[in-house]
Amino acid sequence: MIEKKRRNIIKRLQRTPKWKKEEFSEIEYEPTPVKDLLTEMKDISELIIDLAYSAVLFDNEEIAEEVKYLEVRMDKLNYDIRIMAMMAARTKEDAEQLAGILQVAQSAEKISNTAGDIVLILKDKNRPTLSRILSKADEKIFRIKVFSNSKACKQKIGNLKIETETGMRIIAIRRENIWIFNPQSDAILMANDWLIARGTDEGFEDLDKFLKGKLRVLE
Amino acid sequence: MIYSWKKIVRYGLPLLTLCILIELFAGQILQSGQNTLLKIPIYLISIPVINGVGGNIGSILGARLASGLHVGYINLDIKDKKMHENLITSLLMGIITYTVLAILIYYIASFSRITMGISLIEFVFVLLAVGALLICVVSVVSIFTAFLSFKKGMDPDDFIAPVVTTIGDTMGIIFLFLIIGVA
Repeated sequence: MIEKKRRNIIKRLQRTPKWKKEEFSEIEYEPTPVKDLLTEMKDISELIIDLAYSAVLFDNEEIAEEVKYLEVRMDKLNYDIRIMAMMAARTKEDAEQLAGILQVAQSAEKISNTAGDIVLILKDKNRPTLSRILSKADEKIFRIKVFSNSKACKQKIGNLKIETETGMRIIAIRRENIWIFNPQSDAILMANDWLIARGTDEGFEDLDKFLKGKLRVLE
Repeated sequence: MIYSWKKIVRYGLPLLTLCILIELFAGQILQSGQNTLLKIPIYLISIPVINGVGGNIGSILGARLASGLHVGYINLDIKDKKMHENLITSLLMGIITYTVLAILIYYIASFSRITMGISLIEFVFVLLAVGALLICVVSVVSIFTAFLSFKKGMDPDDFIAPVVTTIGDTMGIIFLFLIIGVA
């Protein structure tokens, strides 16, 4: 009888989604530096938007679950970073600088909350058509070719600082018939590559000129 | 609020008791070397200075390291570059302070007609040697206490300063006798 009860409890626990467990975990001091926490928050805030849109685009409950988990994790990280910042501040200069860092962290947390709201669309029965929403977005997807007279040939993406200078994020590279998805900073651009990049119109114009060889350096 | 007297006693008393015991040990060493010190009494007035400066430099280093660990510009690693920079700065600061203080003490002592039996160069050399050794030891101690306080989330002010100053006092006296014995 007891055995059965216990099994039932375990089953119920296994059925609880990951984000719910995270939400009820206790918040306590953990020796993680502010820098590491902020890095993780920045990474999550980027990932969570990708995931939220993917969840809506592909109508996928599992990805939505992951978004919820990340949103809850972000809340926890926000608490942690506040705790660590309070431990770290000693002088008024420290406090002034850390206040700025906390503001960034707060904004990252806000982004994740909004991403969580995007996923709520999935619960709506008569959701709006996605193509109409996406065409109004500031960031669009572009396709750009790397010309052989551009400075970018045989350079690492990280060295070109494309994302910091233009705000364009390279999602994929097509080299003849080979696809490189989610290229990291050590990926090398070659002549005649096709880039799939995400960003604003202005960013696209700069990057396009640079990759056509009209601009010598990205600034 | 956070600093109720119960809490202060509970966290402070065990560590302070331990520190007092170590300080008693330092006092015993001082007493055993009484005769050497009385021959050249200028050392007697320099003992508080040596210990004070050593302890302070260690505490400052410890507090800075603890902040650095929390913010993350210092990693929890013995080979961290930023930490080495901090160490070298402390050593430099210590050497400058000790040189200035040595000269100052020497002249104040000569004004108040304390029997000398030692030249200025010799005195500065002894104080510098003691100071350099002391800061090295105190720095290592403060690194370990800073790491520990970061790991456990203890208040660096409650923990690092007492430990570092106590060990600084003890080692300061030991090093002074060592250097006097050599010189």
